[in-house]
Amino acid sequence: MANVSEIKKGMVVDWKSHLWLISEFQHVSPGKGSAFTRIKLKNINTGKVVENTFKSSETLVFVDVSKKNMTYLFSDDLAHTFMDMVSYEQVGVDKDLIGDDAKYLKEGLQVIVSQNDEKAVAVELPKKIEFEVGYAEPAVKGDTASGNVMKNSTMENGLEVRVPSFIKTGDKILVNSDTCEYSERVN
Amino acid sequence: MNSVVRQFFVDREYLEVETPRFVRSPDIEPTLSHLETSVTTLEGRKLDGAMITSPEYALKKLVSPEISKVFEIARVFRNGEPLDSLHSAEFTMLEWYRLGSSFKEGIEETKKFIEYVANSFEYELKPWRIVTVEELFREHCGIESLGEPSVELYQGALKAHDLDFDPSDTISDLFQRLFLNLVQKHIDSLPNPVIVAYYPRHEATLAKINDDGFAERFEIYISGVELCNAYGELTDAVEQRSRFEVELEERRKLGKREFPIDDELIAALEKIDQPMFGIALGLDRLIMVMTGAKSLDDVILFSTNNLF
Repeated sequence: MANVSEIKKGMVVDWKSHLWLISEFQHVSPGKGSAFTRIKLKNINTGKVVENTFKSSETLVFVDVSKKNMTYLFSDDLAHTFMDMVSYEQVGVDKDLIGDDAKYLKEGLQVIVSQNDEKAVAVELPKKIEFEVGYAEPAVKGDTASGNVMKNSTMENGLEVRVPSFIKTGDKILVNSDTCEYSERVN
Repeated sequence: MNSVVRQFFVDREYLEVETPRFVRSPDIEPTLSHLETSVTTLEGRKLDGAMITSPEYALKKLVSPEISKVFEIARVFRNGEPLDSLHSAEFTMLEWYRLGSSFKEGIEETKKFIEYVANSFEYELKPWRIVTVEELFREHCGIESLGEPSVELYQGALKAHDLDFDPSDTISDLFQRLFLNLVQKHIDSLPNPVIVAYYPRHEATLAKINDDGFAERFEIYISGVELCNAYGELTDAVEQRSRFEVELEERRKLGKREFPIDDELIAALEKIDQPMFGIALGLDRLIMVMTGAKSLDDVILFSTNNLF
């Protein structure tokens, strides 16, 4: 048990007989009355995200998780498979747990996997992920002048990202994994 | 920023003042925790007090028919609050008070102020949206009227939306649970600056209750960030003293320090026989919104978060 005010992103709580991952939170001190914390919780089994407001003085049951650096290997119909490069242990992660973020997975990607009782409960992607541009539309003359300087491109793993017009096929770029936006070119 | 603020108020013939940071009677709103400290004189006399959470009491004492418009850009201090992207233990509050101004005139002047700042920051301000708390609760919580708010009314709405509450919740807590769970999301999603006005009477704090039974209080949200809290000020000295006594009682229950009631403030209110508008606006948060910064730490020089 611990106080709601002590929560951090990535913690796992046991609430309403389910395990939930804290994905976002915000403290609120209204003009009058108690302080509250708004929390976005992701159900570890179903992937469903709910938002709930707790009084900051309330207690929640925190669940112990171990965090390990792992490398993405491959995906099949049910799961994404990662490997602990120290013990060479392979871990399957339910597809629902990663959801739409699976579009960022590429062979060799380093992630942090949180486990509770051997079961993976959360996968943290790096904030910025490096990709090789598989295909970028050629820049169209005149685009820069009209202020329309972004164009479509497809990464090595099929991820689609809007990039500036100077990016060419074969360039390496960093993509923000929160927003799926172009961040910078890697030289 | 401060020069932009000063220009706006000087153009409107406001008087800029500086009031004490260290006081004997700070704001005693029950949820506030203070940075408590004391001064010891050479003779060993100890003066117990606290750093202000707002310059409100001092400014209200200064307002008179002779000096009817005052403003202050004040450093204020909060204890026992989270330190995150929207909170710092020390920050800058802009407050202004205007005697003879109605609540509605206050809303208009506040809009003008924010438009003025937005203009100087070249921030594109979308059209204003003004909603009452009652309208928001009707649309998002299924509560028809907030004219007669009660614990049962709020508990019923929480149950209907499958939301939790606690037996220890006060009426304000229940109200906040509904507001934060059902209403805030809607406000956050609007690209427009939103004025949320006329709170139910239990959320009055230092605001006047109007003839319809609602508190003359408004807050402004831009991009989901709460920027200010404004009141058609309570100027009834008797009512103010009784609200202070209730607040002290709540502080006692919460185990918080009971500071002495500010008798000078009560005496000053006795002399006021006109409406008064007053507002406290978090200047750092306004800069944050106007510049698109993600955290107060990016706009406060040496913020608490960065120092400790």
